[in-house]
Amino acid sequence: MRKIAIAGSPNVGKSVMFNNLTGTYATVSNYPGTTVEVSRGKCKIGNEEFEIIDTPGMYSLLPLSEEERVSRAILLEEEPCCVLHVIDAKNLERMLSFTLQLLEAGIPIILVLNIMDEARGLGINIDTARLEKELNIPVVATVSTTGEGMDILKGKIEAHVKKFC
Amino acid sequence: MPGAIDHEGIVSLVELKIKKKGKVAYLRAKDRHQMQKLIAIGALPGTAIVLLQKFPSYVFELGHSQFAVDKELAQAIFVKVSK
Amino acid sequence: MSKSFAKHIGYDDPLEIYLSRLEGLLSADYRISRRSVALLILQEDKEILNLVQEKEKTHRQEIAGIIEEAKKHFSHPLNYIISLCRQKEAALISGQVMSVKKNTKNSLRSIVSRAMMNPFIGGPFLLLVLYYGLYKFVGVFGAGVLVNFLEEHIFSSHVNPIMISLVKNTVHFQPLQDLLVGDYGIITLGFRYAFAIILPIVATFFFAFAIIEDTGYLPRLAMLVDQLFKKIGLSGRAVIPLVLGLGCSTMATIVTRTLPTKRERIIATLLLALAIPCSAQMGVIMGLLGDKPLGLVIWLLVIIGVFLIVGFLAAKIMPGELPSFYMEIPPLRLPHLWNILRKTFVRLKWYFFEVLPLFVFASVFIWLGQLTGVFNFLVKIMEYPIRLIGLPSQASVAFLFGFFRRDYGAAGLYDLKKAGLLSGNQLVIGCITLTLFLPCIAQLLMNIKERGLRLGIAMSVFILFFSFAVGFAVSQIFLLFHLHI
Repeated sequence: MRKIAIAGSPNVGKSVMFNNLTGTYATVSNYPGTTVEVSRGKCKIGNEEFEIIDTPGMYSLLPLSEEERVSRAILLEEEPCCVLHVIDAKNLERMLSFTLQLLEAGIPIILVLNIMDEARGLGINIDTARLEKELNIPVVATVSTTGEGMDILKGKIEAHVKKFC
Repeated sequence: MPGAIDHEGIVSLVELKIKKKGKVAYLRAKDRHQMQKLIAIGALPGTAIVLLQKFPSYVFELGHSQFAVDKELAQAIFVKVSK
Repeated sequence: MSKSFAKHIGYDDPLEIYLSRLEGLLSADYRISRRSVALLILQEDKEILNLVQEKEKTHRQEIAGIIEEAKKHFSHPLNYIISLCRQKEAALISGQVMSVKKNTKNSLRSIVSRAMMNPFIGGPFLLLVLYYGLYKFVGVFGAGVLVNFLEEHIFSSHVNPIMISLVKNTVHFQPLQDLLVGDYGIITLGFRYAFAIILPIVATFFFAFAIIEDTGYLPRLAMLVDQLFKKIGLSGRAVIPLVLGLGCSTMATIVTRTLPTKRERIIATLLLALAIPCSAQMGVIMGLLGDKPLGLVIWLLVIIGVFLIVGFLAAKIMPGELPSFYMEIPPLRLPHLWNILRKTFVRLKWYFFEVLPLFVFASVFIWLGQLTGVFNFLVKIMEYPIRLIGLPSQASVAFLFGFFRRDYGAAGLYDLKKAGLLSGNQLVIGCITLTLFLPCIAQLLMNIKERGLRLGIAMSVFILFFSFAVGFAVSQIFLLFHLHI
């Protein structure tokens, strides 16, 4: 089964995103050789079933804690066919740094601009089409707590997988 | 780049007045690890910063997020105060 | 995969020159782009550095040389220089795609948020949260109303009698009957305990905790207590496992993983085992001391005192990196009921898979202990320290069971109270000692699993002696000042 990993810093709604994709049937286990817990679940997208991995929060590719080391190890060693980089839309500039690092590393990512409702509330508007062009990757705006944008995200995952995996 | 900065009007976050707006001018961490923590929260030069409170911890707004740090980390952030 | 996706970000000279020199020397496959590897080793990423030295045997020296040269060239750490360049690129892109229309106003949300971070409002607010969330909802509703209902109306009157007659009619071997439906049997004690007592308490706690968690209150609490926590060797971040410990210290011990240094994890584990009573235990203590407000206050003061003093001493003694505090304060959010229920459900599921087997195990253990007489022997040994702290020797049984479940020990004291065998003073001393006393068997096993065999055992031995020492000290103080509660 091919894998999709969810990555991003703490407080951006990764776990809710994970639950949206997998439902409640998730297994939680220690990453081999560590005490860090990683949740895994399954999700059917298009006609294919994927394993979804929720990685512990990480701020950059340069790990500060054991949790961040585990997150990086998942991205590098489990070779997910697609990584959802979830960010807090209202802090696009600050969070793009990590997106750039993932792109530099050649990790296949889809950028998920989450918590879009709060960004809108602050009067922030993001041109996702333009951002897709600038970064040359799929970009989706979502509100994970209400499920807004989840269908579009699944569509983009499907297209991405068809094209590259 | 750091070093090539006009040092006028630059104070560490600890000396900044509450509610004053500014931009992060540079970071002066005591080591690589402390630096990495500041980089992690995105307190990088050029970022807009507003100090919200000093006690019991330093709370500031960075872009559209708020962060709390202890005195040691606050001392490492230098801010150019907006006029 | 690296080739088709890798994006090139330019860095200022001379960093770019060092980078391309390093890239040229890297020939192995790293699963990520060489440029990324070069950037990570320039920032002294130990893990990647070791990997590179292993894979690039022929160029080892040269690579190390370039890194040294680059480090010398800049007066700042390289992670700073590299992050600056990347930040510039990020700012450029976000400037092109993002626009902000209106200015942020002082919304109600931000006013409430600021108030919570004000120590003079945040402090009393914490007391309100504890009173309504913990005492009223978990203590009175969960541990009182729900437990009574399940215990009396479901288990004692329906489940247990049916199971007992069922087992007695099918199994005719007496010891096996005892194992299943005896006083401490798997069904009569283990299951009843897990479903009728622990389930309602823990479920209400997890529900309350999920609400507190999803509103974003915990980071605000963390920033309020950081300075105080620094004195006991922890950072504000540790408030999260410690508050969770008021629900289930066993689960909280796992959550200490989120603390950044080993030193903080050890201190937090010790304090959880010693001075943080879990919800199940607190419920019984409320029952024991509920009619003695002064006793409850003394109990609370002693436990808080022990928490602070032991933390302070542990911070003095333990070597290692001093804690550093940085935390994002997310906006206050109205929690979604569905997300809270899901979180509560996932935690409860974990709790039952991890803890229910331990109840069964405890029942088997008590059964074996009684069958072989080991238990009576241990009860006899325990009588000495029990008498030392001025309690009747019957309390020994409660303390031994307290090891299998701390709250079960407290329940044992409850029986003694009902029988009129304990004075007010003895009750307070008993509650204090039992709160500090060895954690339940689940937490002991978790301590060993998380902190290693040596440290786990060492902590337990310390707690064993320390709890009785505090009990003894309190009893002496009562005697000295002729206090009667």
